[in-house]
Amino acid sequence: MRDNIMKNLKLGFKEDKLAVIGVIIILILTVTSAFAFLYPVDANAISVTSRLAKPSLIHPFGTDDMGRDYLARCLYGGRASLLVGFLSMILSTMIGVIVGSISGYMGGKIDAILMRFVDALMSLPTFLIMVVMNAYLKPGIKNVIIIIGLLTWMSIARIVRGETMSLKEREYVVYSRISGQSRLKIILQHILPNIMPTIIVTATINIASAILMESALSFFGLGIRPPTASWGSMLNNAQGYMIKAPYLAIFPGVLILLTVISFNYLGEALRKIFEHK
Amino acid sequence: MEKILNRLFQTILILFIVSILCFTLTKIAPGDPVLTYVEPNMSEEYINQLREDLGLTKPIAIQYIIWLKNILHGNFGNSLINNRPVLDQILERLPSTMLLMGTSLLLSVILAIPIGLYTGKHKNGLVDKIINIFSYIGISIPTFWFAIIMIYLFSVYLHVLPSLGMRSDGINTFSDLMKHLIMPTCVLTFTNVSQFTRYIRSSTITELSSDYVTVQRAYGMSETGILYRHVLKNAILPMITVLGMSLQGVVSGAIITEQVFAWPGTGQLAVNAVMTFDYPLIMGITMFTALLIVIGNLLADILYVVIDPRIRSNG
Amino acid sequence: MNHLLSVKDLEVSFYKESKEIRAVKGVNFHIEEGEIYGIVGESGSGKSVATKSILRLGPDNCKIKNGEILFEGDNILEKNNRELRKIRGNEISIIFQDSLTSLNPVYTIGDKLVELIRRNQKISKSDAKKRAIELLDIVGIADSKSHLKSYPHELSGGMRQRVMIAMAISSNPKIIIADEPTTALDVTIQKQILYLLKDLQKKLHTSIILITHDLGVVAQMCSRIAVMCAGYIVEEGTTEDIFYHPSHPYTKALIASVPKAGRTLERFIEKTITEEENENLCPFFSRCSYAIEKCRLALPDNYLENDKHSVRCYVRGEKLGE
Repeated sequence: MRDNIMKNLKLGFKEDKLAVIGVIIILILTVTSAFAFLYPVDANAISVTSRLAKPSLIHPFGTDDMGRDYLARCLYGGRASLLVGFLSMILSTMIGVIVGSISGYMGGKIDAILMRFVDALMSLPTFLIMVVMNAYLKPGIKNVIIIIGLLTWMSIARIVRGETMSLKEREYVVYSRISGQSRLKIILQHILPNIMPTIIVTATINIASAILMESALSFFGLGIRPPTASWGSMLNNAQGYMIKAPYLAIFPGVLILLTVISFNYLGEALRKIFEHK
Repeated sequence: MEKILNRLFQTILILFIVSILCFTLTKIAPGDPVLTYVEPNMSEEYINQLREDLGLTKPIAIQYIIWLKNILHGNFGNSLINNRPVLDQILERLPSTMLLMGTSLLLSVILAIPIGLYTGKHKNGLVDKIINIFSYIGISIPTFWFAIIMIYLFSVYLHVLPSLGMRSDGINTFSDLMKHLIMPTCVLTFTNVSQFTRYIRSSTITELSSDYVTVQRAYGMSETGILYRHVLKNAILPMITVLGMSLQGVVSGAIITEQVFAWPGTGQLAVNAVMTFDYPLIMGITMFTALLIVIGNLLADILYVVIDPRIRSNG
Repeated sequence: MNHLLSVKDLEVSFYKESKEIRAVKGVNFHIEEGEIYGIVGESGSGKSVATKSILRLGPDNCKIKNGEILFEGDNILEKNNRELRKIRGNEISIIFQDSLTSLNPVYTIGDKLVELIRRNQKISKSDAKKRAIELLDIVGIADSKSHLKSYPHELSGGMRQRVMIAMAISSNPKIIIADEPTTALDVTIQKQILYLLKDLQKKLHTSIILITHDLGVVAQMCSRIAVMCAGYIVEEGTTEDIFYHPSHPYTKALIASVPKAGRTLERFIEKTITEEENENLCPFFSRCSYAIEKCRLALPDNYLENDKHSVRCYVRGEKLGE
């Protein structure tokens, strides 16, 4: 079955050139921001003489209002955004899978209570809560990851619950139940492997939305705050120089858009591939 | 009917959980709420007395019940900053937000239905591919960035649209309001319309491949007839639920949009409240918004039950 | 000699991810006025695709590659959309297997019938309603007037299929294509529906093309039968010929597997045929116990057992021995 999935993936990516481009963009951004330290310019070096310099050979993306090299800042900003995206996705996926599979497998009252809880969280203005929590907690990348992770697991939980409920009725699961396997083992061995494709798809799309949320929070001056570079806070700063240096707003924005669109497209492409089986 | 009652009961349960979450959020917020009432010349005993009067020394469960009772009576407390009732402030700002969100949602639905139907009907055609790219951009673009790009383009560079606020100083005309409304609406609509289009496109494709469409074809109905008389209704019915579900996202979008365009709505009020640590106002807005989202979802569900004959008679 | 409908050299293919899947590989048959013609075969034999092609009803990725479909002398494949729509549902109508998905869930039975009647005949809404009630009476739906307001899911499977039949006969068509009309139904309801179809066929003097995988059904209903296998008609003849003198090993196998009521053909598939295998050889080769070397090399021609009975097999007829 695993070989089959790999074969499907290969075939799928062969057909969908845009998905390949998406993967390449994600890889390039991940590698460049991971190895940002190799770029021989200090992202935090302030220079009074070269403030708001236009893009040039020395500063490919120009410099910001404090004379810092904008490319270097974009690279480190990408590091923050991708880190938040990946880690909060992992957190939200973990919570979502745990809640969803328990809810779907146990059914009854536990399911009802957990799902009402999910409903309640889904009716809260999530972004507002994020703003509130970010304002009150110590700023920093760790808290941003936790906050986003804690407030975005509900959709995964719902999906996992639905699939668990239908898988639960399959004969092989019923058989394992009759033959006395523990619930945990059944969930881990028979149910989760089968909903892996769906989880992967949802998780991929969740990275995209986590990056969007992080950038919005940082844009509001919450989330990741200066001097740590992040695309969102760079855009906040760029707002003040729209006339003199519009490129300050272009680069981080385009980078966010590219990253998010790549993850969103990749998620949909994976969905199509998995559904084709 | 039973289904609707069941759903009502669920809604009450959800609201109960929401209220606990909101209350917890107030309680874990940093800072001693009593300090806001404290004036420099107050004595220690007086402050303790005040703490007791405010109910802050009571057990947490009692505090929750008092808080809930107040909310049920429409008393969301007073702002710490200007001491005005929270509810008044929310209600004062609500029309602007409703204007923005309403216009945007309406526009999104009006645009998404024909675009979704067309691209679903002609899937993989040129138009579909172009629309697809745009809808990907729509769901992926950071709202605030799109907003500042718009401001740069239309206000700073072209000088055709006002960049901030809802009205120009001293001008109180409808056309002025509309001018201010254009950019925020566009920003908010782009994301929504992209999402809705994708839903309608995919449900159009599903519906078009269903047996009843083949039957209609077999009985000589024209392709446009099939699309408008049969597919349309089936494809947009789920939109009611989608609309309900998307409320949460729309609210988030509205908060960001209002902030960037300085639109004087509840979203902006909320962000300002956070920045000034105005807890009662924050909690009031959170609870109030949650209430609106829950009611919106409930209405969507009820409407769906009323409209869709399949569910109607099973209930 | 002019037949009511004749299908000549029909070839239909599906395209999936730029791969061609040949579903119908050159099929010839004709329908006379007032007869019930049966097409039997397992699922995937191309019987349903072939008959849907008569009204050009294939899905988007399906293409009619070759052939002629002559209805009263005119080639349906050459007609434009408007002319085609005049034939669809008017001259030739169709009944599908799954009556639940065949009826749009958000409209009532009455909505559908009235709409259909008014599309074909220019009459007032109230007249159309009267006609709808009349049609429901004809197909044996009791309390027809109140059922106009019913939604599809509120009716039983048998009643829905009766509604489908009412739609099919609403314009007094010359041919009704019934694509597995009773497969989704209980055995007792099956009989009622088949009886209704036969009864209506006699009264209205229409022709019916009955597609099924159930030989028991065709035996009761049809005057002539075609047996399809992997895109070819491998045997065609009168009901007597097919049942008493089956000539093709495939037909024999079908008949042998049937009599125990309710058993379907799917059961005796031993090995699915892959695309490469059945490109240019006998479609039944891989499962045939009489196959000779010749069968692997080329598709057998049509041999005539008698003027109405033809068979595509090298080792045909009495030689098979039992």
